[in-house]
Parts: sequence; structure tokens; C-alpha cells
Amino acid sequence: MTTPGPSQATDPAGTDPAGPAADGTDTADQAPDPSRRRLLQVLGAGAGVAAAGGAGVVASTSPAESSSTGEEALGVDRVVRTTCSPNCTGSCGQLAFVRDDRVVKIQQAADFPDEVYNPRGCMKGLSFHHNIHGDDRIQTPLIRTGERGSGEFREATWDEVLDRIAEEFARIGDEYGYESIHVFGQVPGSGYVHKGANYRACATLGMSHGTSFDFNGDLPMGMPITFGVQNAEHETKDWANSRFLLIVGANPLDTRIPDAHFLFDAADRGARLVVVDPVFSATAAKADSWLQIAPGTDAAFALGMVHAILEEDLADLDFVRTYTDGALLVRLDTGKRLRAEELASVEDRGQTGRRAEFDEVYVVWDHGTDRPTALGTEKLGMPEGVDAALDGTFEVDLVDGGRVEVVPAWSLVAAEVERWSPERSEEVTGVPADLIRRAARAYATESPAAILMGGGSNHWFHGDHIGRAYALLATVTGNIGRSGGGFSVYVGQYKVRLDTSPWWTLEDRSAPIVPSIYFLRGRTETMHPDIPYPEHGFKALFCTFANMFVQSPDLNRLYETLEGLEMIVVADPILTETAKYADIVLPATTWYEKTDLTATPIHPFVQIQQPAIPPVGESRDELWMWQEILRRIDPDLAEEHVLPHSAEDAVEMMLAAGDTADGPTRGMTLEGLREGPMRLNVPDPEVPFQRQVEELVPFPPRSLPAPIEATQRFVPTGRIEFYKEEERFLERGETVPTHLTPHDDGVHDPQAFPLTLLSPHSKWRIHSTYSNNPWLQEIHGNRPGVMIHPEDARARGIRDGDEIDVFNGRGQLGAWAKVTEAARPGSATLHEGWWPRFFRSGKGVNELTTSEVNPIHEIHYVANMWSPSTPWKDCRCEVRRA
Amino acid sequence: MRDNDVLGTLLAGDDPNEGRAATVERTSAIEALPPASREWGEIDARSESPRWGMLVDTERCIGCWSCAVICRSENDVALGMWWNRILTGGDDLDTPSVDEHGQMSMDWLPLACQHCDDAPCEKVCPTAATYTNDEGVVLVDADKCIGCRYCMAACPYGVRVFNWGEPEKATGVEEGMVHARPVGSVEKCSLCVHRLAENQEPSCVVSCPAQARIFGDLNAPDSHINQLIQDRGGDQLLGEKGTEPKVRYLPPRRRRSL
Repeated sequence: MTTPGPSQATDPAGTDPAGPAADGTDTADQAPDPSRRRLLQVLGAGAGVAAAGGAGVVASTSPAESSSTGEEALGVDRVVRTTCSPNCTGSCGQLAFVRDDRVVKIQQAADFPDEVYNPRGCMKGLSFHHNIHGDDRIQTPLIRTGERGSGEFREATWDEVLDRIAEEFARIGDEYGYESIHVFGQVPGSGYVHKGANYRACATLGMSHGTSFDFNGDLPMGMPITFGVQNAEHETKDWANSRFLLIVGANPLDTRIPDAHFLFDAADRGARLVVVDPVFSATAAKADSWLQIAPGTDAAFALGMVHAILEEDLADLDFVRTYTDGALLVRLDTGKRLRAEELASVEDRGQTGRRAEFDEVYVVWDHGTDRPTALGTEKLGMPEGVDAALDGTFEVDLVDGGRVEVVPAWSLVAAEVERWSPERSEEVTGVPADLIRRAARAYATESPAAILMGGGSNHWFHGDHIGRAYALLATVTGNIGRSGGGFSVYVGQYKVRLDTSPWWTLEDRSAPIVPSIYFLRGRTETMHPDIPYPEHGFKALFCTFANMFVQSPDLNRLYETLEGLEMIVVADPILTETAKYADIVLPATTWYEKTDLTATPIHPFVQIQQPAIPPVGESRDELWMWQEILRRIDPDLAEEHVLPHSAEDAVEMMLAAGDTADGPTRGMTLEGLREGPMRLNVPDPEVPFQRQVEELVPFPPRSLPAPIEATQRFVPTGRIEFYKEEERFLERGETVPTHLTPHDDGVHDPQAFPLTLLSPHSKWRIHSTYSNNPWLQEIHGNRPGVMIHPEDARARGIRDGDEIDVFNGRGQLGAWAKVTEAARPGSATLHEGWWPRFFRSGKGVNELTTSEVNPIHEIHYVANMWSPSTPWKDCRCEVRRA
Repeated sequence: MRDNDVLGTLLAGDDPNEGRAATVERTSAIEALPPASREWGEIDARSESPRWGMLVDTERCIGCWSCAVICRSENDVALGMWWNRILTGGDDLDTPSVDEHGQMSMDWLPLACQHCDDAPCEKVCPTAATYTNDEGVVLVDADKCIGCRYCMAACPYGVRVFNWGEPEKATGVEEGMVHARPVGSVEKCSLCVHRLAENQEPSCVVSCPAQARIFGDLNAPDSHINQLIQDRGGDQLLGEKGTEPKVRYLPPRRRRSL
């Protein structure tokens, strides 16, 4: 079909600087080209800045000739504005250039009304037409003919597959209940209409909807524990307002490409960039300082910084007193907070109102009166004239006649911080104590200072403590609720930004939601009783928007679960490994072929997707699929709830619901969105907790779509909580932020499995999307390399490029060694998202990752908000030459 | 029509659009842009006799290859060929270089035709296929190119590529906004002259998410590029060769230690 491509790698002049070979093979073996070295000299620090200075305009050397351009521009049939949506959080506006109903070029729309966001979009989105029209695109419905996973299918008609799904789902519904069907879809922000159709279908029939934000390990449990919110991040343009950026476990230069420039904007204004990462990442390379931390030890690092800040008297303790639970008294006998009603007598200074009817009234110690003083939850701050203690031990008389010792919660937090001197922190983190002190000093004094955290720090079994510790660092320096400050965890397009209720739920019911981790591994002993786990377990899976059988943790365990299923349906535009394992494959449209509505946590613009081309092959959108399935199962229900609605209706329903004075989509219409992005009704810049800090409104702000009451229970004091009193925190000794050893150290003997397996996001993919994109493959070389340090390689007789096996007690994969000083000794790094077909063997990195559930994540249950978060990076392994 | 059919038609020498051309009226890709998008790409200041140049801020370059990808897309550059690519300081893509003190660094240098004022490629071309237009853009007339590749040997930057065979396309059809070049011809960055003609910046500039590329008329005193060159200078690659490139590079910023 094709002639071998002309190759720059075989360029006869031998001057090719770095061109990957035409066949996509690795360029690693090629000797560095001397001419490339010379070209790169321009990058030498400050080299020759002045050399060419002032020589801006040189006399033209070109003869006056006719303006022959030598190139003839081709026309297009149309250019259509839509939104890129591969679960990267970017939510970038794109233009599709169309000829003959094919997308022939994609370019950023660059039409955000706030110009600093232009042009949003990266090389992945710009090459997506090769996914739309690529070899792996599914053209027709498919029915499995061979064993599961054999990839043997026959083409089928829509009628045949829809009939079959309807029949089987109805049977399962009759035999076990519809809740035995698990519907999985990825994060909703990238498509409220069709991902919402999943929820609506589940609500209609009673099928169980799965979860994504928690299952993706992205739910930063430190946030609900500390602030009572699902998560809360500054919009990315606010990075430019920081004077100090502490970037932890995040590599925005690779994984937030459209936003990376805000870091340079900040640096241009004099900000300092400090990167904390085990790996020398692209972001580390551009930073002022890189602190190479031992994986999973961020809490020890943050506590070391807090220690130094307290030691040097750089903390803002008024901020702690005003906004946190620090002054609230805790009973030393029970470990619970003291309630006003428990006391024989307590001062009432006029601040005893409650935020919610289930709230309690707590107690602080007023130095002024030397008396216990009641404090309600309806307002932050302290009653007029009250000088609340943050340390000391006090005795109080109880209403039952007893007498107990109480201490302010802050003293318990401070006692833990006291244990984490920078020297002790160094022992755990490997970051020199001196650097921890300097970083702490700079962070505390170069204000406002922002912490930008990514999955690298969050994806740990004890990632909640890592989040709690960084939250503490941000809070003791008064960096919460301020532009340029904050503790932001940038993790996924999870956030529900709109009032989705009219589309996602029915008037009288909504979908039962079961965290997908329990679909994968069954109940845990500590599972929250509110989780509607089906009585008969799961019998079928309907998987959408996801390469679930590659991108879930603990894959061998997942495959055991899949064996027990009576039907697996996968809807996807692309024949992924997941689709290949299905019984029935439904060809879905891409976001260039459908109408949808999108928003993201990292910028406040709502956008729509609109079809640029007709559906490729026989592909259809997810709403249509559910309409056709439900019509066959129960025509009346279908007629009542799904059939009357188009995607445009759904957009309008959601926009209208939020079009109120305080609503998120005030003044927003479908017609308006057709013209371009529209800003949500949020302050500019969008800074979390601004109202709490400026107006003393209690925590938490609402996390949509949960009712406020649900998340208020996460922080019963209505304050930033560094002390947790729920029974399980007490039992496990986790009441205050601390560092705990990675969980997998107790599963895999560190002697036998001495390496920590890190699986960060790749620059070249969005999870597993784009893994098969031929243009990107050509650039990155298309061969999964496991980064290990030369010391670790030498000890195992491994050389760069060798075939290696990576293994632990959960699984094994065959890849290639990439020996580099960028890796920290004691770690192995394999970027996630490679499709299995690119490995020498195995199902990919997730054969090795864990699905362990932390019981702390099961204390409350609100789907995707307080729910088990997958600890991808908490994973030990060993590597050997194959 | 399925991909293979289209490709088969192409290889057989038939135009898959034959018969359609009469009925399909195509619009200029620039005119078809929504107004805001069009405005984004507009050239800022333009003199009576423009001389186009580019400035690349290597501090802002994050090595994402968006410029390379949009260039390939805009110009329908075949698999295996790049008009514009990104050099990495390390020994491999996305790995750092390590100096004798064990200090690591990682930088990127986007590289395409430098549009030299004194272009060696032009001097050696026996058929004058390579020429400089009156706006200073070095171009290749594919009709005149005889494929001798002297220009490739003469170019010190290694930015020219040659069509050894039928161009290989990932989806098998004509993409991009200009026709692909024929077998046996040399090709390279044209500064998107077809876009300049419609007052739009080259695609790599418009699509750089880090805004590391500044494009403009070196003859227009008020152009952003001229102001930046006056303020910050900018290095020419291999300046000692005397090729006088119209592409310049700003060096990385200095770091502050803790």
C-alpha cells in the first residue's frame, strides 16, 4: 500500500539533527550528531545575548521581484469550532478544517475572550484527525466470535446488537436486578450530554453507575478531609500572579501544555519556581530549583517545611485561629472535640449559631476571661474580643460532674510538626535539611505563594496525608483564598461545573452510584454502608469513554472480575484493548462528530462540541445508543425519559437550570456558545475559598452535584480541619497530618522488590488515548522505556535499550530499559497509557499497580468526593534483564 | 469512500476529487475562520516591503512539538519527514544531558529553515529552484527541482528533506492546506507563504501553546519582533557561517538558587 517513506534519518547529507526514523523505531541508538551539538550551543546559559543585539533590521538582500509565493493554498468545505475532550482537563477550543467530510487539519480556535488563554491546544489535539480517520477506528457494530480478548469479531447491524443487548440486560434485570449492570464512563466535564446520558439511563432503569475521579486515583482525599470539598483549584492563569510556585508531583510542562506558559509568565514577573519530584522532569529542568524527593514522602517534606516556618516564627497564627479548627478544644480522654453542651458552664459571646441543623457547638479557650467559650459553625473567626488559645492544657467541668483535660487542636497538630525537623525530614525524603529550610523561608516570605500538586503526590495509599500536609503548609502561611496563592491539586476534568440535575437525574430518582473500585475487587470489610453495592454482585458491564481494561489498577484482579460477567459491552470510536475484550462493540462517535457541552476545573469557560463531519462509518453517539436500548427494554420508560430528548435539548436543559442570578450558567445559551466560549458565573480570577477568607463564610463551598449537607459533614466544624475526630481516624492514629510509610512496603518486601514503580502521565498521550497516533508515534519512538538510574542498571547488568522484565507479586510486563540520570536511584518510571500491543509482553504497567482501599477513604461516602482513591504510585517492583 | 479506495485511486494517478471539482466550491481556509480565530493569527505590523523573520524564545519552548505537528498538518508533509522539528539537549528525546559535574539540564531548540539572507542552498542550486522571494522567504519551486540534493548538502542546518518515493500518509489522503510535493523534489519550511499572502502568521507561530514564537516584519519598526530584538537581541544559529538567518533565538533565563 505504501512505498517506504522518505527518511530524514537516512538523509544523504548526514545533517539530520534529530529526526526520528521513518519507520518509527527508536532513535536512542543513534550517536548524537555533532552538528546538533553545535546548534544547541545557543542554549548555553546566557550565551551571546548581546552578540546580535541591536542588529534587528538588516538591509533586504532580496531582489525586487514579483511576489511569487511558490505555494497555492487549498480551500476547505468548512471550518467548524469544537472542543477537544480526551480527559486531559485542557478543554481546548479547536477548529476542524473539513474537506469531503473528512477532517484534514486541526488548529486551536484561539478565541477565548480572556486572551491569556489563547491558544489552548497541544500537539495531541492537533493530530487527532489521525485518530478520527485512523486504522483503529471502529466502523460498524461488532459481535465477538472467538474467545474473549481474541479480537475475533464479525460485523453486525445496529438492530442485531441493540436487540441482543436489550434482551440480555432485561434478563439480567429480571434475574438479579438492574443494579447488577455496571455502567462505566469517564470524568463528566469533558462531555456533560453523553456522559450524562449514561447517568440518565441508569436512573431510568436502576443500573449502577460507576465512578471515575476516585477510581482514577485523582480524588485528592486531603481536600475533603481538610476543606470539605471534592477539590478546589485556582484557574491556571492565576499562576502568573504568584511570587513563589511550589510544584509538587506535577509536571505541567508535559501534562498541562496549554497552561505551562503561565509559569513563564510568573517567572517573567520575578516569581521563583521550585519543583519537588523524584524524576528530573521537563518542569524540573525549567525550574529555579529541583528538589529530588524520595517517592511517596511528600508529607514528611511538607511537615519539615512547616516545622522550619514555625521554628523561624514565620507562621501566620492569626490565620490559623480565624479559619481553622486550631483553637477548638479537644478532650484528652476521648480524643473528641469538646462540645459546649458537655460543659457545666460555658461563656456565650454571641457566636454560637450553626451552619446546619446537624452541627454542634464547639468550645475554645479565651485567654481574656480564662474561660471556655462556645463557638458555633455559622461563621468563621472568633467572637468579638475573644483571644483564643492555640496551645496550653486546660481543665473543664462537665455537666455530668466530671473534670477533663482539654487542649486546642492546634497543639496536637503542632506536636506532630515538632517531630518533623528538617533533619528528620531529610532522612525520609532525601532532600537536604538545609534546602528544606531555605525552601520554607522563601515560601513563607515570597508571597503570595502557590502550591501546585499533581497526581505524582496524590496517587498514594496515604496520599490523603500528603494533601493534608501541603494544605497545612499553605494555611500556616495564610496562602489560602488569595490570588496567586493556594493549594491546588490539578487532577482531571472531574468537576461538575453546571447544574446537571435536569439531565442527569429524573424528577423522582437518580442513578445508584457504586465506586468502580468495588466493581473491580468486590466489597471490602470497611465499605461504607451507604454504598448501594448490588445484592447479587455485578453481572454485566457497559463501558463507555474508557480503555478500562488497560487503564484500571490491578489488572489481573480486574480480569478475574470480568470472567464472572455475563455480558460486556464496550462503546468506543477506537478498537482499544478494552473493546477487543468485549462481547459486543458499539462504534461511537468522536467529539468531531457529535454535540456536547464541556467545562473544566482549570479554566472557567464553558464550550460546546459541534459536529464537524458526519459520524464516521456507522458510529453513533451514546445518547442514541441508550435511546435505542431502552426503547427495546421498556418502551414506556424510554418514551417518558430519554426518547424525547436530543443532545441540543440536553445542553439547553442544563444551561437553563443554572441561568439564575447566582447560577453557574447565568446568561448562557446554546446560541451564545455556538459563537465561542463563555465564562462561568465565577469571580475573575477564580480563587477557591475567597468567600470563606474574605467574608468568613464557613467551609465548605458546595461541590456540585452533591447537596451542601453531604459535604458539610466532611468538616463538621465548618472550618479548615487539621484535626479529625471520626472514630476511624482515632483508631488508626491519623487524627493529624503525618507521614506514613507507603502501603506497598508492607505488601512487597522492599528487599525483594527494591524499586518504586512510578507511572506518571506521558506528554505524548492522554492516558491511553493517542497511544496509536501515527504522528506522535513517529516523534516519541513508539517503544515503552522504563527509566532507571545508571546505578540500579549496573547492579542488575542492564544497559540502555536492553529488554527487561518488570514484575511484582501482582503482575509482570516486558519492556525496554531507558537508563538515565533523570531517574532517582531506587525507582523505575514507566509512563502510563501505553497500549499492551507496544510491550514485549503483559497487559501494561497496571498489571503491577494496586487496587488497595484505604479505610480512611470509607469513613464517609459521597461518590467521587469522599470515596476510595486509587494509589497507582504506591507500588514496589523489581527489574531484571529478560 | 474508504481510505484504501482513496489511496488506490491516488496511486493509480486518478484524482479522487475528479468530477467533484465542478460541483464543490471551496472556500479559502483563512476566510472560513471564525472572526476571533482569524484575528488571533493576523500579522501585527507590516511595512511596504516586508522582510519576514522569526524569534524563538528557548526559555518558553517546552519541546511539545505542537509547532512541528501543525506544520506537518498545514503543509501536508509526509510521514518520515519534518519541516520543523525540536532538538533536545539530551541524548534522547525528553532525557537530560549531564555535564562533567553531573549537573543535568534539558532544553529544546525548534529547528526549521532559517531563511538565511545569504542562503547557501540557493547558491548551489543548479536550476534556481531554490530562490528567495521579494519578502525574504527562501522557497523551493518543486517544478524546477531536479532532485540533485546539492542544497541539502549545502544547508548547515539540516532542515531540508527529500521525497524519495510516494509520500506516505497516515490516513492515505491529501491533508493540509497546500498540495504535497512530487517524488524527487526537495522541500522545507516555506514560512507558510500561502498564509502570509492572506496576512496570517505561519502555523507554527499561531499554534505554539507556550507562545515561544514571535513572527513579524523585520522592516516594520513597530512590529513586536523588532521591539523584542532591540530589547533582548537573539542569537543566530551557526552565526560564524555568515548565512545571516532571519530566524533568531532567545536564550533561557538565568535561574536563582534557593
